[in-house]
Amino acid sequence: MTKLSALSERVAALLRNVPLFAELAPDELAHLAGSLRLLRYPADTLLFVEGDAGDRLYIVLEGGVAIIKSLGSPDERLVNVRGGGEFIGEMSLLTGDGRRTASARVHGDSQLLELTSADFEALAASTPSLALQMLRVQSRRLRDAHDRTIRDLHEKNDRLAQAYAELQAAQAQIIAQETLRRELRLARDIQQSMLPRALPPLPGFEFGARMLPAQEVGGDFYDLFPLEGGRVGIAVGDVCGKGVPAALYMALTSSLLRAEAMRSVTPEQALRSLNRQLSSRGVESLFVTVLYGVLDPADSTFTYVRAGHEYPLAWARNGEVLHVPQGRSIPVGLFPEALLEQASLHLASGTTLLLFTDGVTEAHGAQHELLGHERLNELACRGGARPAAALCDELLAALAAHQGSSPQADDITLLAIRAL
Amino acid sequence: MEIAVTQAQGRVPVTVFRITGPITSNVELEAQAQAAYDAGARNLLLDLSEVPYIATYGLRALHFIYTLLRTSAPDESDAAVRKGIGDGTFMSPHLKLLKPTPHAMEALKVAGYDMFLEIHRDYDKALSTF
Repeated sequence: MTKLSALSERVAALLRNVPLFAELAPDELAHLAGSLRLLRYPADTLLFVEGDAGDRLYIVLEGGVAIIKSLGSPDERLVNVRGGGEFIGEMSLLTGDGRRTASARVHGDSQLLELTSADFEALAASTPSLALQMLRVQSRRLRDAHDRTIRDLHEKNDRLAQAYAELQAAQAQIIAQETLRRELRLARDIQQSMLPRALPPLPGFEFGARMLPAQEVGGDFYDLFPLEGGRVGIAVGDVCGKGVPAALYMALTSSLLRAEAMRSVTPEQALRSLNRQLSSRGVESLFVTVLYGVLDPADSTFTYVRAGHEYPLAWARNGEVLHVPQGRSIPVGLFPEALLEQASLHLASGTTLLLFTDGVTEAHGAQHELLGHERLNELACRGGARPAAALCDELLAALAAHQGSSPQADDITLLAIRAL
Repeated sequence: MEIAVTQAQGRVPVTVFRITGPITSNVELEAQAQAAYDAGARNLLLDLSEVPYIATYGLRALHFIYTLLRTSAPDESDAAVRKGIGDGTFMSPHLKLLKPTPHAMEALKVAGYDMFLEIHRDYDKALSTF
């Protein structure tokens, strides 16, 4: 702290450059110089804090002072930085309650002049021009502060409106997703309801079947239905694709197949009719691999067509793998005319026949290794004869173990027929 | 899956796709085939020697390409092709396969694709059939 009188020459020169005092007469300036103290502050010195009692104002000679509202709170806001020639801290002298309306922090190493409340009042009373000049500055600052407040409010309003719009969009998206999930659950229920509720009883045979879609709905299907003469129609199919398009095509295919099977004499006729029906609909690049056959308990013969579908597996009671005629054929829905060769297999007592979709052999583990046909052969045949449903569950458990934490990539369907 | 595209010459120009990696999606292969077709390709040889396996989507892509190349071959009568497919005697003159790996070959045979797509073991011989 330095008394101004000791530095009169320098301070007088400095005061003349302060706009607030520009109109003071030399003697008034000399009087003022005697009332001021010169202060030096290093950068970041906290000059005063909002809410503190204040009884002096400061005039910035060199450096600057940052005016800060709500210092240290989440709402902290820099109001302004007062530089050389400007004054600060006048509000607490004018408002009457003597409280600081904002905090002030020195901005860079600075020199300030300090004027006490008593000296300020005396000076204002003796020098109306000074009071008027201060009033002008104060009015300008109030107007600026008002404008800034309005601007801040507008910005906050804009941000609030944007946040509200984003919230509305997010809510709409959540509702849409929930609606979609609900519809997919319903679609899954409908698709499951298209599978046989109970497998038909057939003396001398027993059946087991399982289907696990990779998504809510899938393109795999299986069907068993009674035909004339005590025979049973048996089908396993796989629409190329997954999700809703495959599920819709699966529904179409399984319905058409059952209808065609009912009025066809042979599986070949049924699949030819199905192929024509699907091809004529011209659904681009969708096709179905299907194995459809008729099991006749009278002679324990399974007569079937494998339309581009996985080769079935057959093994004897003791686990011995049996030869299964394949027949040449292509998937249905690819071409208006399809090569579909019929084959037949005698299911002697103790024989198990396993139909499946490629989701079984293409199930992959953590290192993307496929289960493959050889492994399926081992898993299925090794145990010899066992109840058909138990066999399916056993294979599903083995598949789950193979997949580990890897997601199921494709729909999985198993259908086992065991000759007792 | 990666596809390297080169041009070769049989009796007609042949575009060769050398595919590396399993074909588990139809999207990329169909898009590349469409791009080649749009650029004028009318004969395609797919080298499957580096394809460990073909999933159902891969079969879908092959059928897409077969159909795409058929659209620019009006000289082949629909009736004849239809009958040939039905009899198992038709082979696409525009789409052929080269050296499928055992797993890929198994998928092709199971689905009966070997009944309408020629499968070659030798590159030069394959080209000479176009």
